[in-house]
Amino acid sequence: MFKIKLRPYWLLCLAVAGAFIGCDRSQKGTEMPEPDPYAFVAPANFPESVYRFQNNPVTKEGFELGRMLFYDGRLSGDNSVSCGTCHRQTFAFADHSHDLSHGVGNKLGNRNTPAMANLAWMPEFFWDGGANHLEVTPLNAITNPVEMGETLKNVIDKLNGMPGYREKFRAAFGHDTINSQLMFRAMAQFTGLLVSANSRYDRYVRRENGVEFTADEKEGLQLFTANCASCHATDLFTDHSYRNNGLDSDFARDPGREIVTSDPADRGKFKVPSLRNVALTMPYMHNGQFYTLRRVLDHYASGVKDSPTLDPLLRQNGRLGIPLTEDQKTKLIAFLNTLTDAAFCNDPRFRDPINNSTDQ
Amino acid sequence: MHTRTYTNALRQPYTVSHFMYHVRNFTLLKEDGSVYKVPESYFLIDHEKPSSAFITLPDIPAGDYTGVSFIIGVDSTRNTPGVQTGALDPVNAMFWSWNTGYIFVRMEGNSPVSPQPNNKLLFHIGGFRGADNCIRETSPSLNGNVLQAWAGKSPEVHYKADASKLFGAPDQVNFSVLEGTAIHGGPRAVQMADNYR
Repeated sequence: MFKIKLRPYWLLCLAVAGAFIGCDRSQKGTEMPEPDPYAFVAPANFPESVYRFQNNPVTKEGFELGRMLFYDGRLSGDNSVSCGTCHRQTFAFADHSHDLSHGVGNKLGNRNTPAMANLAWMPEFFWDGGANHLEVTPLNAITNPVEMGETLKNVIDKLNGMPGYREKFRAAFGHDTINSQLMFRAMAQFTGLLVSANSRYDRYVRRENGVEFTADEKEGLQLFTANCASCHATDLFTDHSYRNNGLDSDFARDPGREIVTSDPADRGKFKVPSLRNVALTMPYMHNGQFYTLRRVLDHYASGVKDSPTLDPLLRQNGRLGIPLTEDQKTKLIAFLNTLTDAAFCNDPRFRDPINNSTDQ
Repeated sequence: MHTRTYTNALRQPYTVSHFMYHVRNFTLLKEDGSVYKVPESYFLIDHEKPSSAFITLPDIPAGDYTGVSFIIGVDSTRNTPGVQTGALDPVNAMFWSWNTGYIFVRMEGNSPVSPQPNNKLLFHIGGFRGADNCIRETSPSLNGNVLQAWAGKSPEVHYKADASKLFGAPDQVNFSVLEGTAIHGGPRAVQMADNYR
């Protein structure tokens, strides 16, 4: 049973004493400001971002708090697993050499840890697109029993019980009563600033510092544009779609996008991942089944399996897959290696502030 | 809650361990046909917390009201803007992390006929997109009573939220088959949402 009480308003006479306080915009110096390491800057070769920080302006304090939370195992059920446990900066925030994610109590997840970069441009998150907003994305990893295995309420209670965190929230947001919105906004300030756009490829397309490609890399780029870029589109290297790329002919174990949409036409479809830093993010695919880029290309050339939802781009002219010679694969890999952004993987802003190291 | 046994439309017994739902957008109807829409406000009713089942709508224009309607479920625009506070704080465990959006009605319990482990029942009704839309408006009858909202008066309406209505009709839910024991959004949730009225 629930009750509604209607409370009428009383006649109120409000004497509003309005005082207009003039804003004295005293002149500041006109010298060029230092580049702000905590400003969100969209690279020139990127489309418009999806997350624009309107409700969550980035500050040094907010970003640093988000970084601390990202690397804090206390967000997990047994205080042992942080976001950074699987998303490791050295490997472009992927989980190097782990085909499936490892969670609390050595539990195995059922999908490969995705790399993190340029998240402010992503409309949806996870292999099946189950999260629709940058801020809500960490909730899944925190509450998933095979990942961090904790309840959101316990996380908020733990944080409120730590004076150090309360002080940091006060510095970042002006409140020291921590709620989930403030926690996730702090995390979004950190994850949203994980911008990777300083690979050799970026400097080549932006014509910076006379960066040139080798002959193989140039040919690889041409092959990529002809064979891969319809899905791995734009300089984000994804069109944000979900596709069945023929890893299997039966998807009973993991139906992918169908879990989210309840649409059988989405069975076996998974997000087209960005290829940023792809040379560092092995193993590949939603289930981590390929350990090298060559095995990935072998799959597209000769391993595609048919099923009713197979992407039409992988079933053309009466054959499955994308025809590629061994030489073409070598050149494609040369190109894919140009997407590695060493500055991003070594950026001190993104390092673990607790263990102060990105080593294994 | 917990101990009392209810029966569904198929006369299958069950107990309730969680019963929570989101209500919003109260509209008050006057005798002359005019309406007053209460400004957007969300309430999460949790039958574990009796105080949450007492909603106060402040600043109602004075008048005699003959009807009340409200919406069960969270508006599509509130399912997409990130993390919110109050009744919509994901800490309330009415928020899906595997498919971002709110659970509008959460009913969990047990039935001896359920084939689930521990005879569990778990119904999470939500979904705001297209065919998965479980947002429903309802206008429960005031049985001819008039709500006199005048200065100095704060009329109260007592509604009975009958969890058994969730299980039929028109959509009868059979607790003795797996498909009738656990629902997480999707087409079955939409059918159950049609049972609200």
